[in-house]
Amino acid sequence: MKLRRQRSGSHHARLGPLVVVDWILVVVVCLVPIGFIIVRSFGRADPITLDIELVGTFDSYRALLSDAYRPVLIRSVSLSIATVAMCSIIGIPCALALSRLTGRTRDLVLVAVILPSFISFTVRMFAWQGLLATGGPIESVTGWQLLFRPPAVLLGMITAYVPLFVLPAYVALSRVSGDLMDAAADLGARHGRQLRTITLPLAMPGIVTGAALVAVLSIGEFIVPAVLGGNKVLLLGNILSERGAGRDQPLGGAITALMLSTFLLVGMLVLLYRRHAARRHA
Amino acid sequence: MRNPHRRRGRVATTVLIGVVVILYAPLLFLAVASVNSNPSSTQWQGFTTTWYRDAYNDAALRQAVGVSIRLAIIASVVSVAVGTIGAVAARKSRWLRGVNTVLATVRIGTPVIIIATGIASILPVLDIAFGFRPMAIAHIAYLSAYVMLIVGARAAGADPLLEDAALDLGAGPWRVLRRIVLPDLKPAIISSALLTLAFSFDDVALSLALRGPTDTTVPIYVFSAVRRRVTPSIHAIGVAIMIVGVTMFLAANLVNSALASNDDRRRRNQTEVQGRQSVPVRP
Repeated sequence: MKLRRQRSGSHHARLGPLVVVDWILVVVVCLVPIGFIIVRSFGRADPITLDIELVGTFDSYRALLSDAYRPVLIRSVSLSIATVAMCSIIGIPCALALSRLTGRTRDLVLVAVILPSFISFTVRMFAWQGLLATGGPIESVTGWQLLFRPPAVLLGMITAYVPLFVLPAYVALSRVSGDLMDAAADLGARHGRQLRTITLPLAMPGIVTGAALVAVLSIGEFIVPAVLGGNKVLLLGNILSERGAGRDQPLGGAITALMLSTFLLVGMLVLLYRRHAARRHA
Repeated sequence: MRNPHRRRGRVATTVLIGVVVILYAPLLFLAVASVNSNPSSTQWQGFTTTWYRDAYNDAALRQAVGVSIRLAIIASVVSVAVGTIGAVAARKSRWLRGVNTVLATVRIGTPVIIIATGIASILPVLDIAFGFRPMAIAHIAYLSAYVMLIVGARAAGADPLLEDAALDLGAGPWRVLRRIVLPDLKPAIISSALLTLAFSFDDVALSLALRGPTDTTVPIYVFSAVRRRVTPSIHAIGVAIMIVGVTMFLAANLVNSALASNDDRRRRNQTEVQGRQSVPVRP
């Protein structure tokens, strides 16, 4: 409705005002609800009616740090950090190897890395459940009982997010000029030194982008722990998805506020780092 | 001098191969399990198509496929429209483009589960019923961020002189939009349409939080089936979803490369024309 009205109103005018269609949508559908649930984090559920009363309490934040939820909080944060670390350890060599390929081989491998991301996330995690199950291929070959334990969740997270790390890292690495490396080689720098002093520092913005992406996605994850962790490896995302909007709204609000402030902090650090790096290279 | 280079290269290549193997192992397992007559799918027992027949005859699954397709098409079409309109409207102003980018980044940088939980918490207060409509609106509001970034990037790279030239030659603003601006954005619009289609079809968080009792989508069907008890037909459903995903990816690539070569040709023609024109001007 809004769209049609504005269009007919500005038939011969500039299109500028139409930009607000998306803005309204973002504010109404995304920002207002997020603000709402954060406000609710300072409330308390009435024990009988279950209505949330806004009493200005920090109970929900205290609950998040209590014995009931502290393990979940610690597990979420440490799994997320482990995922970022593993994605970096695996993803940087991957991106390096990709950036050294040329022509059709490179295109083919690139497609091979991206393609699984177009296949339903849930289905991929379900397939891992089958691979890791007791009596399944991995257990019968290695004897490792991984399913419904933290290593399975970590494995699922890594396979889900490594392509998202590799892509920006690859783009950054492939932009590092070959002339620079030739120059370094001519001046006697060995391969390891070239990598350490030239290639990786120049590609760092892309690597940091990849790491930030993985951090944001992994901390909100709820599908991987639900499918590969059973009900034994609960993360913050599971609490949000199962109870955050309903009777545990204050807790949901507290988790939201915590996650968003963490991202804000990480985002600001990344921005500061980028500015710093840009200044140093300039 | 050569040796360490080779060795390092080999380590990185091995890791890359390992990652590709890890990415495809579960898909291979799924494909094998879907035709394995052993219902627990742990050991191979023989070939069967029973699970595909089961999946095909599953009424709940059929309904889920219908909901998923309807949702994905609506979400994709509307979010592409909203995002494209926003990107086109903002193309002349640095300030508007900046706001668009910030709002898009905020959405993409927020875990979907946070947006989903936020909307689910506010709906009862506003007395809005859960169901298909809030699901679709949430998909649109979230996915238009991707459209905004993809189409916005293309619009920012467009040649503004082309538009000015058309205006100078007497074309009205709408005609310029239709004949100059939109054709140039076509590859970006098509890529974002396919991307939003794939994202919407794959979403669990938004749909799970906002659906009504009858609005089960395919990923939600799989997600809840997996959590309850795995029936062997889920493998067959998974393979079907896999084929849809791969097809969409290939379609996106084909369209992209076709448009890219088209683009090249157009650019070449343009430079040729420019070259020809510039000859007589030279002293």
